[in-house]
Amino acid sequence: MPVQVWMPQLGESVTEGTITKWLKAVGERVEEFEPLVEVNTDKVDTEIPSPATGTLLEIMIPEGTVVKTGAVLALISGGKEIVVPGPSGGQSAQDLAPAGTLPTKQAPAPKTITSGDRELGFISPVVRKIASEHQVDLYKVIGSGTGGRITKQDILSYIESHPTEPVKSAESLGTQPAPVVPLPAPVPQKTPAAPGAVFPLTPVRRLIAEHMVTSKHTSPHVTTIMEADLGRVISHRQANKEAFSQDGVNLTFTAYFISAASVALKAFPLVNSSWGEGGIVLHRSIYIGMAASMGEEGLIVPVIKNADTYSLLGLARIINDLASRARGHKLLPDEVKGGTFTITNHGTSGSLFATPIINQPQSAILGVGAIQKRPVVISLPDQGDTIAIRSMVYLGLTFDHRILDGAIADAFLGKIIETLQNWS
Amino acid sequence: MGKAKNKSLEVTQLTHAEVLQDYQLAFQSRQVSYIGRREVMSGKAKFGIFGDGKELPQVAMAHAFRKGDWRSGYYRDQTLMFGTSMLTPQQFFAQLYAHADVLADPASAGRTMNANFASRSLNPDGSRVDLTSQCNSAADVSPTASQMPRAVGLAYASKLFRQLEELKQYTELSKNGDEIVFATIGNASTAEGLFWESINAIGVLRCPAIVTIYDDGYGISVANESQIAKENISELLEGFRRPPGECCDGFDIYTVKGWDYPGLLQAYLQASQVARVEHMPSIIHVTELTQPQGHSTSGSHERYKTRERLDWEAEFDCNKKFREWIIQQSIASVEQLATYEAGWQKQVEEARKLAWEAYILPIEFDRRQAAALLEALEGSSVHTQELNQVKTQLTSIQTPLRRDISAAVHRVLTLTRGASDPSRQRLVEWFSNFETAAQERYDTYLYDPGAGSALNVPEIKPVYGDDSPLLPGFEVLNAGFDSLLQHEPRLIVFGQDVGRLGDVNQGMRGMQEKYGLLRVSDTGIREATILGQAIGMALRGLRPIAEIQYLDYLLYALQIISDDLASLSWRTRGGQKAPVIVRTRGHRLEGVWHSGSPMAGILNLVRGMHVLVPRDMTRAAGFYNTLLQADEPALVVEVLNGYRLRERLPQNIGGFTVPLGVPEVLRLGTDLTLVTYGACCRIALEAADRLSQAGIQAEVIDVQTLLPFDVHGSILESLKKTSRILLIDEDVPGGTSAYMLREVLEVQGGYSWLDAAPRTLPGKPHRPAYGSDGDYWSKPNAEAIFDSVYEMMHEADPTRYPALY
Repeated sequence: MPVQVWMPQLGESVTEGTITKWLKAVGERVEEFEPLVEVNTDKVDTEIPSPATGTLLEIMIPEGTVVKTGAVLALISGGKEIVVPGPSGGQSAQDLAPAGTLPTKQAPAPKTITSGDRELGFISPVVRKIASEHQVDLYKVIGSGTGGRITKQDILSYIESHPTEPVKSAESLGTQPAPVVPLPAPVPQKTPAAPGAVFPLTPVRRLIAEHMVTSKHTSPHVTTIMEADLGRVISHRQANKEAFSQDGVNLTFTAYFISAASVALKAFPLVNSSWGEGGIVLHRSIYIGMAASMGEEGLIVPVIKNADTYSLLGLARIINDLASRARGHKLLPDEVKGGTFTITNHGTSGSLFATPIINQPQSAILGVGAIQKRPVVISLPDQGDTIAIRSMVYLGLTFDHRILDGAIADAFLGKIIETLQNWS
Repeated sequence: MGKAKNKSLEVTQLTHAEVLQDYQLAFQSRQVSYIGRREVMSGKAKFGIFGDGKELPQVAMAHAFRKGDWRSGYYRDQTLMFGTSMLTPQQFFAQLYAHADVLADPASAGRTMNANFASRSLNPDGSRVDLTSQCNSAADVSPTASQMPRAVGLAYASKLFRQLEELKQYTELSKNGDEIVFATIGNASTAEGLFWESINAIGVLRCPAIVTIYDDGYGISVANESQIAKENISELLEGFRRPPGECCDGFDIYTVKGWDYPGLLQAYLQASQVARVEHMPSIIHVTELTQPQGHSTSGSHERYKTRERLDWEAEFDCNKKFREWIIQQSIASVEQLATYEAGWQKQVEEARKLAWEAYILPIEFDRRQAAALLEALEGSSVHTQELNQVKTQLTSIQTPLRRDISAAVHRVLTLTRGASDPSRQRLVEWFSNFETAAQERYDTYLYDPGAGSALNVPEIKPVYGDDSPLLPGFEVLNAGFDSLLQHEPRLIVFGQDVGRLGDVNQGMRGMQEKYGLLRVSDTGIREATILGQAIGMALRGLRPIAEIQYLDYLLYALQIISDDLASLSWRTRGGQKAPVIVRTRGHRLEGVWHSGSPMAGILNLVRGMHVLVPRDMTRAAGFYNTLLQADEPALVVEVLNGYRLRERLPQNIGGFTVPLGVPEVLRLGTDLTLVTYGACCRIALEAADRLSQAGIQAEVIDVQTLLPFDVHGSILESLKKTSRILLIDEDVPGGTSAYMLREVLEVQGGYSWLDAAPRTLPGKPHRPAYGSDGDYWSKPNAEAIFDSVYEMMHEADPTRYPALY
């Protein structure tokens, strides 16, 4: 009996993911627990290990399609039958605040194929028949009927506008599977596209786009900018860098900003909140997301949970770990969820100040600019006003004006400045 | 009850040998009854009903019965059947065993219960035999008194054959109308309305029927005092008696004791002479009959008859009295009779044995084949023990039925499912053939499978010229009937107001004047016997169109249509046919009883007939043309409110045909398929016009015939295009609209082409209310159709079709 490879539930309340890359071709041998397929959920790439040793008989879901958890992805012949458990209950942690990275609400995002059609709504017999005959991913078809139902007209229009829809490589289940030419992976397109060409949207790009648009449509964005003198922070970092390093920890400035933000969030709980239909939801815990670039592949926001409970060493260690795993696409799905506030360090690319977009449904996001030595006017008790060279940084706070008034936002940002400038 | 009168042999004008032959008939018939009951009681047959105690009147009737004559009787008539050679004891037993083989049981091929008699009027290829060269019996039905309505038509046909010059050519159907009809009925069934209606109709039509009433004083357990006023049917019938000396009206009525052999012979001789020569009917009330074994094998009459009555029955048993008379008349001695009887009894037992062997051997053969295949599978299966058990159970059944074999094989195939054993494959193949044979045994001949099928009539489209006149619908119909009456001499049309008036809607206007009182005639208000009249005539080879004035009154005749007409071909396994055309008019007009459209109620009771629902008079005329080229029964429901609407008269009014089972697309569309029929067609088209103005293109399909239904699947083709379907009619919710829905979704496989929930728009469950507003809110109207369609389109595209309300 062939062993079925299921789409596992990749983290709490995750219901779907995108098949990004098949690591084995049909007919190829695969060992139990050997990585078989790369899957991308909201913002995490992960590998699904093979549930058995044997030959990959059939790939049911082509690359680039979104599948529900519990869907059968592939069949593997013989071997020990270790079946990856199907979807479990899918409990969502209610004590966690609404998600913390870019995706917040489960986006009604681009959809693709599925094993069940609960979210597709009713699929009429003729639509099902046409979808099956033309190998159409119904999740890709936009429904125009009542309640978004996909009508026959919808699928016919879709087929007309997608004449070269990839066809499922459902080869025989025979003992000698026909060699299958791996389908081109639609995601990381390394070669620059020629001018005028349409650059295919990656799932991540699509998600980012959607979240950005949603956020801008949701919150009235206001940005307030202040600057901080990082003299004491820099001194502190110089003094402790070596010691941290001996513990294997690279002490970054990010640790200071996160620490300062935690202090400010504790002082101004209203900022650690979300807009809700019933009112403003104050979050009990402080989960701070830190935006990390993945280069061309986009952006990811791992979350430091209960950031206010860590020492600087602890924060630095976590930041190191998350950042390195983010670059290596090794974050666990749960590690990018549940943030209540976000910090984005746009200064790393030279930006002085920026007006970042809020990561919904959070109330604010802190943008950290480049640290620059600048001549600033300072007042010394004994010398009066004088010009000095200081390490300065612009901090921009973009906030949801529905929740926060300017004065509170400024007071919150001021608290961060104060904490940084008075670091000891 | 009285004492036996001793009429002498001379009265009978028979030889000793002839009398002894009669006694042999009566004796052997009685033995059949005795042995038959024994067979049921020993479990070899399920049920038995016999003619014991009624042998002697049938012996006498058989003397009067000639080739070409017809019997229309019930389940007590085995002696008459034996006496006229329409049945042998072996065939009787074959039917008792339910031997599903037309050679063994020519009456019903095992499809009806025993003692449901029939002769075969048709050759295996469906052509008619020479009906004048054999004794004929219409196929019995069990609902008592239901044999009476068709007796009207069987007898009336003789009158037509004798009086209509144009029928003289059909010598294989009649010899100058000399044929008479012997109807038989039990005393208790004379309490049925059908009896009185039939007697009256025979009297009115003055036709040669001899109605015998077997009176044994009971109807199962209910005595005559609870059945018949004054406990005497012939006294009640006195008013029907033909006055002495006059030749014209009424019946000759005879009351004869059932044990009075010479008296019975005399009565039948006389009655049959009058019938044959004068074409006048008689009633023979045979009293003092008995029922030695009770009503049937399902009861014991000892439980409801008094000791005194039982003793009297033993004493006045007609066979016993006949035997005594033979001895008294010195025709044979006690000893001689005993010797004869022993031999005759042996013959009957021999016939039974042959019937049983013929019945059981093929089943044994099937069982042996199945057992061998099971055994082959046993060895190779992991379920050896269970298979062995099933096989052992099957082979140990003493008198197996085929269903035992089916159940055993099915069990084994279930046990071994998934196994790819060649032995299993052989069993599967065998089982498939076994099943096919069973279907052939029980599921054939509902309709004519051969040349007579209306589905074989080729379509000839109506032809119109520039000068084709636009006439009121009834005139189109009228022209069609005129042509048919002219070209088909066997076509006889009748019904209420059909003759002189030319029917209430003038479709037959002028036809009686042109073709005479017998070709186009009026009838009384008697729907069941209008149908019976048609059935009897059609059995005799005529082509009746029986008109029921309104569809709402078809219910009076529906029992006869259902029990007798619709099931005739099936229950005789193609042995008889009655191509009756029932013409009626229905759908919306006015009020409760002139606007009904209870089509599902009808079509579900008349399977075996075609049910045609033409939307206009041109289609109706085309259907009549088609039907008269075929040889099957059909119901045509004309559109009641369509007679005055103008239609163009086809140039080939008498020659064009409308095919059965072929819907017509009345309007092309892409968004939704509207399926309807009859008067709703016009309303659907009106709604489609308005929908078109709202940007919705509905395809409108007229199914044209409900039975058969869309034989080429053209509705499916439309559904493939539109993926939406709405079925409209005037029937109740869940009625014919649901029937059509099943046909499209299940039979044609329309389900997988649906993009919207299929819907029906029937009439209301109540009867249609009076007046135009009553009609509007009782039946689908253009606005309701518009709304139903619009809702379906709104569901698919709420932006383009925003909610109306």
